[in-house]
Amino acid sequence: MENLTQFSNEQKEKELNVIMGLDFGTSSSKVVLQVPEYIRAYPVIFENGYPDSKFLMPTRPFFDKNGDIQLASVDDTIPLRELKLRLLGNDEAQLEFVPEMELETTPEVLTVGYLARVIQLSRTWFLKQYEESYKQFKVSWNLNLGVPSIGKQFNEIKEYFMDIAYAAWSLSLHENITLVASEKVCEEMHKKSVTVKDIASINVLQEVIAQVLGYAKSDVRKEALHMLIDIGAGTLDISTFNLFERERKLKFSIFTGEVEQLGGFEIHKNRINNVKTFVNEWLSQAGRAENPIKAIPTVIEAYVPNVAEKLDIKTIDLEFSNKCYTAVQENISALLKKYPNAPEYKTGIITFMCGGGRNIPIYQKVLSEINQIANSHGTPKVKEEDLHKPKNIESSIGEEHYHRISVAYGLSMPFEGDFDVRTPDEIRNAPTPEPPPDIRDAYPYDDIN
Amino acid sequence: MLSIGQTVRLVANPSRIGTCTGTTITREDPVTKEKRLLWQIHFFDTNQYQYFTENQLEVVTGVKEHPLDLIKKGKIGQSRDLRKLLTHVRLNGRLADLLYSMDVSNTDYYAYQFKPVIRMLNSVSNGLLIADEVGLGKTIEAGLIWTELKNRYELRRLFVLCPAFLREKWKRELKSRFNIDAVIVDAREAKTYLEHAKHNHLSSFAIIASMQGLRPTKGWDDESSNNKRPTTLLGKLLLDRQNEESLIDMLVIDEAHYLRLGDIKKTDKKTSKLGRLLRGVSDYIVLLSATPIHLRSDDLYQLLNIVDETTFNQPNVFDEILKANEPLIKAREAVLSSKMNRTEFNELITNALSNELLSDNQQLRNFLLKPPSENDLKSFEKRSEIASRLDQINLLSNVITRTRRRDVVELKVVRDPKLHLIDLNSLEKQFYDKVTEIVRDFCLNNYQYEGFILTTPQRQMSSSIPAALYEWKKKAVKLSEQLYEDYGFQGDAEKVGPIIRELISKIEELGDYDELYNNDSKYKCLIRVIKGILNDKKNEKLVLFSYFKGTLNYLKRRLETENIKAVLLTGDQKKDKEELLTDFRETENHNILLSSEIGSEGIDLQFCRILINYDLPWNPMKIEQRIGRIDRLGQQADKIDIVNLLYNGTIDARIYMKLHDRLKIFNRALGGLEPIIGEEIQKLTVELFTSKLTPQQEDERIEQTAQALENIRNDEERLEKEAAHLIAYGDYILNQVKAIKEMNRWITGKDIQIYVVDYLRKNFPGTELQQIQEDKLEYFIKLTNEAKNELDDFIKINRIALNTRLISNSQMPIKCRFENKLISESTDRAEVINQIHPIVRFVSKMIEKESFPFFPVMSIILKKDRANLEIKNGRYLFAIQKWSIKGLQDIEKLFYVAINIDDEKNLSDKDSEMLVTSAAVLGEDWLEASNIIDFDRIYDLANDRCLSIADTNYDDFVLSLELQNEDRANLQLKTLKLHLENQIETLQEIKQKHIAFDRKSLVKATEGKMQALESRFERKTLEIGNRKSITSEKEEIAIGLINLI
Repeated sequence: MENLTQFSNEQKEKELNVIMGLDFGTSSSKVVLQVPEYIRAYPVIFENGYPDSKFLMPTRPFFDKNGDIQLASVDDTIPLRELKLRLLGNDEAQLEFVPEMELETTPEVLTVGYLARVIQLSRTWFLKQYEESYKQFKVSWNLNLGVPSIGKQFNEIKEYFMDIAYAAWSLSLHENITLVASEKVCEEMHKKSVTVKDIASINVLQEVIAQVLGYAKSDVRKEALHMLIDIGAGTLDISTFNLFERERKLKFSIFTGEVEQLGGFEIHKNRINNVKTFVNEWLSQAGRAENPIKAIPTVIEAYVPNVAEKLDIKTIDLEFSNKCYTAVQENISALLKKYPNAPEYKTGIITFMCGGGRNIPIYQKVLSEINQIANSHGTPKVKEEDLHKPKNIESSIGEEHYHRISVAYGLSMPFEGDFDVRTPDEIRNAPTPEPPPDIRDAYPYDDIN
Repeated sequence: MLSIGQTVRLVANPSRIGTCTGTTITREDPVTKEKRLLWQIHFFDTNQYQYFTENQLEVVTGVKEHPLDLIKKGKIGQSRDLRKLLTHVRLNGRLADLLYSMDVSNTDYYAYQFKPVIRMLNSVSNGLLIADEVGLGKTIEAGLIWTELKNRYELRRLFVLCPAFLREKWKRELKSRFNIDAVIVDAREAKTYLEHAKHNHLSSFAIIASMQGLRPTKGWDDESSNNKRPTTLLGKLLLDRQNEESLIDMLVIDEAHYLRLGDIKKTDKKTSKLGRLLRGVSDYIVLLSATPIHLRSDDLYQLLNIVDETTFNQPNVFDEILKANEPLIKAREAVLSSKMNRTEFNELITNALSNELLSDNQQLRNFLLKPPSENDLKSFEKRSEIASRLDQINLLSNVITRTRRRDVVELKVVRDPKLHLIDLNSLEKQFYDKVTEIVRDFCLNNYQYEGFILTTPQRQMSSSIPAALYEWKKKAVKLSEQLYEDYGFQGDAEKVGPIIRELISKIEELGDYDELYNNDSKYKCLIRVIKGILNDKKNEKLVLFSYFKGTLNYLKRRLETENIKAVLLTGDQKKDKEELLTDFRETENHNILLSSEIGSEGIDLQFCRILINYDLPWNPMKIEQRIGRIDRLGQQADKIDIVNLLYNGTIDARIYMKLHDRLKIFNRALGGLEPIIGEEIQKLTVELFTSKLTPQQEDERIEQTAQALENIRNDEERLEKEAAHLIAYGDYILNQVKAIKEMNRWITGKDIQIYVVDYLRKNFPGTELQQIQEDKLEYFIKLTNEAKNELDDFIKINRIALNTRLISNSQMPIKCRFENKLISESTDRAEVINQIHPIVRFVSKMIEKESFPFFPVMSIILKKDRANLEIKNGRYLFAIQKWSIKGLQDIEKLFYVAINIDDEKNLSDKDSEMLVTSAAVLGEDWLEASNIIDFDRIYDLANDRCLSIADTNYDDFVLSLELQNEDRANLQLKTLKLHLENQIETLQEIKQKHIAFDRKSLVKATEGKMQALESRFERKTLEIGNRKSITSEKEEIAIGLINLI
């Protein structure tokens, strides 16, 4: 039988760590494998990934007739989308219908099945691609899975994601990954009785931290206040954190972390909503006849008054942009309460824009507006910088695409015991300064008065 | 069980070494649910802390492991280590086949300019005469030698002696090209610097002094005199220090022909004495002079006598040297043309050894003991090597270097002269005749003075009549520079006073300024020429030369009235020269640069292709120097135009026709007549002005000079040809330079970055090293306090003269750029970290103390298209041996050997080096090697083949250096003895004098001096004797595999 976790069945003496960083994303998942002994990182290329970005594996499983979970469409089956959102809606009772199988299942079962398949493919890919480089070693596998939230929620779902990771690894060791097997492993998961093998460690980490970990451990890292704006399809994640190293440990103080429904796709939604409102409004008036004495209008605009004004794309986007601006400013306001006198407010909070939507001008504009206000009102400034692709990534993935795999890359780093994190809940607001003491308190003698 | 502070490495990748911090974490094994202990390791290469289980780590014992042993165990490290290792050896400053001066100064690269550097490194006497023709950058060559020696031997004290008018030029060039802040000093200051050096051998300076300012005056060495002049005190200090520890590390004497003794002038004798005194307190000496090299020349003898007093110890030595060299030259020629067998070779060597001058030459003897085999005499590489060894023995090869313009490929430009003969109008003719008459009368009556000086006013008038009149009226004529510009000589300008006064007294008779201004025929001609040129090309840049500043000022004023913008460059401007030049070059409507020769000295005018000589110096050499300003390296045009303006029917016109034209100076570079020409012209000038000659007689007299110069030139050509043949001019040195360039045998900024950053991370954790941009070698660096203290101590103990902000107490990180340049190419305020930066020297010293700084085995994959190699693809095994030789000079060499693993054929030395050094810089780790290479076989191949090839070459190298060292030591001992004898003789004479005058105390003092001298001699003899035999060692510093794909 083919060995699912090793180069061969031969016994090897020397161990080689391989850390699998798995970024379970809303629209796509990414995996980076890292060999810490050789400081090399390999983004996994998926045969069924997006055609022009093979390192992005769409987060949508398919099922074949045997009930096997697949990552590619089989016989025009319909994929199951928005897996992650459904999982996070996390209502176990919330049942899903798998049409091919004509059966009902849970997003959890689907997720475990999907992740198991991703893990399996990534392992196989590595063992095949790097056989010549590492075949003298016994691979010691490690799995790190990203968790999408920080703060209180993190602690709540941390354990759950840890269970998912265990279950997915366990399932990945089955040659055929079926829905039935996934259901079985999920059952064990709830009983806390999942058993795993061929793995040295399983961990979970907040995505936001993973995203900057590559940067935090690089030479270009600055010990300063940072803001991370991750623009996904649905959400706009904004977080602010301080990064520094003390006594050989990286310290992250995450001051704020907010998720808003202001992702790239929301721009479309907002425009469509505006059009809908306008059309409805217009329809409600369109039935009325024009004054018959007046000449018949020669232009259609006469029937759709103020269309150019009311449906001006700039105006519509401005409204959206204002929301984004507010979201960022709210983070900054919350940050100011916790950290009132950061030197970066004058020089600019180092800001990384990540995610698929980062090049959309609306978001770019937000930063320049913040700086305009800062110039006139003395509020904190921001300074955009790029998350550079770390040198040890063995791949042709261009510098401009690195931010897409930055979470997976961070997850693939050997981070155990490397840093401390303080989450927003753990950082209280700074006390408001006390008013200056009354001079009379200092000199309580009558002769002063 | 691991413990805190232990050095460990990864079992899976043994090149990753770090220390165990003692911190541990436990991790639950997901399979067994047991707790596993992980140890935190601080890795040196990445500065990161990572956790591993104990079975993934192994303790490094600190015992240095031989690369062969590591190969046997299959332990392979990273390519980065190879790069660091090579940088480390290179930075050590001792490598024989690397140039530390290459690519670091602010100069363009021309191979020939490194010829003197290599000559100096090979020089037995530590001295060199650079006799390049003008315009080839002798100053740069001297600067490169200094840079090279400073890096190799940590030299600290540079002394430049030159004519007074060249001091500023030296100061400027040293600063702008080599970032050396040199100070111009007088005799008193020079003495202070040298006194300081006497008490403190670590003191540093770069000083420039003029020959005139330092020359001792008459009777300076008279013991009984109480003369307290600074020059006297300096002279006495120098005399006192002869043969002692040197006060100057490198002495440069520019225009060294002033040192010759053959001349009648007393000043030259004094200059010569000064030169010799300075030589006696200097380790290295570089003489710069465009002196032609032919071996009948007494001047050449005088100069070489200063460079190497022992070999060149009597005027007729050349004949003997020629005789001694003859068989060597024959052998070299024959070896190079491959027409010789072993017996013939041995015969020639025996013959050479029979000459007294070479009889005890060890290198030559060795040729007899270990003669080349028949095969050697057939192999191209071996033959070149033998030829180069023969050149090394050649008694003239390493004391002189000369490059001629015709040999420099970059200098092939056609010169196109255009003459404008201007007829004087009646006003001008009257003025001209009158002034000529006054000057002539004056010269006739004052012949006892230096006649040519008195001609100054006449020369000014020849330049521009209105300008001369204007300046005389102002009574503000500065003459010394003009004399240099016109005649190439300096004279006592004071003596011109009376003649100017005479002219001023008769000024009313000479003419009216306004009238002459309005009827200036030469100016009118100039304007026609300029407008013609600018009509053709609006933005053309012209250079106009005049030897008379009055003319330049006059033209500036006048051209501006015509809306022609001119930039004036006479050396008097307050504005920085470079600024003026940039202004001229970059401002669109600035068309004309009005320059004197001194004004344009040291700056580059190659961007102009038209030169206007508004007047013509009589001395053809001075004209050549003007042309040389644009006909020099970097001239882009194929042809340059030279426009000459002359008054018709005057002496100047005759000089032009009969002398300049005949010598074809406007058509081709003059070649090597320099110093002789000056004298001939001086004679001619005096005669033309001190005797009443008819125009025809004048013509005859001028022709006589032309003929004389032509004869000299022909002789020179012939003799130089002969010398070129006899002196080792072989191209092999140029090939050596080119090889160094091609084979990347120098240190880059990136090399230094990896070297320093890795070290600081490893040894001073906590040091902030923040790279500003991924692709740039710029960092914000803040050292830890510990690192600051150690670096500070290092700087203080070693008295490093260079400053660094890295040790400042500021809490702000310092912006630094790793760039191996003496002068940064950027203008920002970042501190440049180059090969001589204190931190680099500090790191190098610290690494030297470590027993196992780099992992010596590596496997590298190299893509051929990145490396531009002409080596066939394949898998290679390589080894690098470091050879260290200690003798009179400490030398190291890296020997590379590479073998193709599949066919087991070895690459040539050159290809081996190319392959390995390219892999170090451009290669990546070849991880697959461990799985596809049979390490037992590699071990055998490395041991039996690579290292045995290296060992054989090592033996030859050591032997040749041993012999060279012995020859060098013998020469030094001879020189020392000669000095002692001379000085004892002088002291004997002094003593006799004192006895004669019954000055008992002085007799005793002199005897004391003699004793001290002898004991110094003994000490020094012993010291040289100790280093006469060398010690040598070899070390395998790396063995590895390269996969060339």
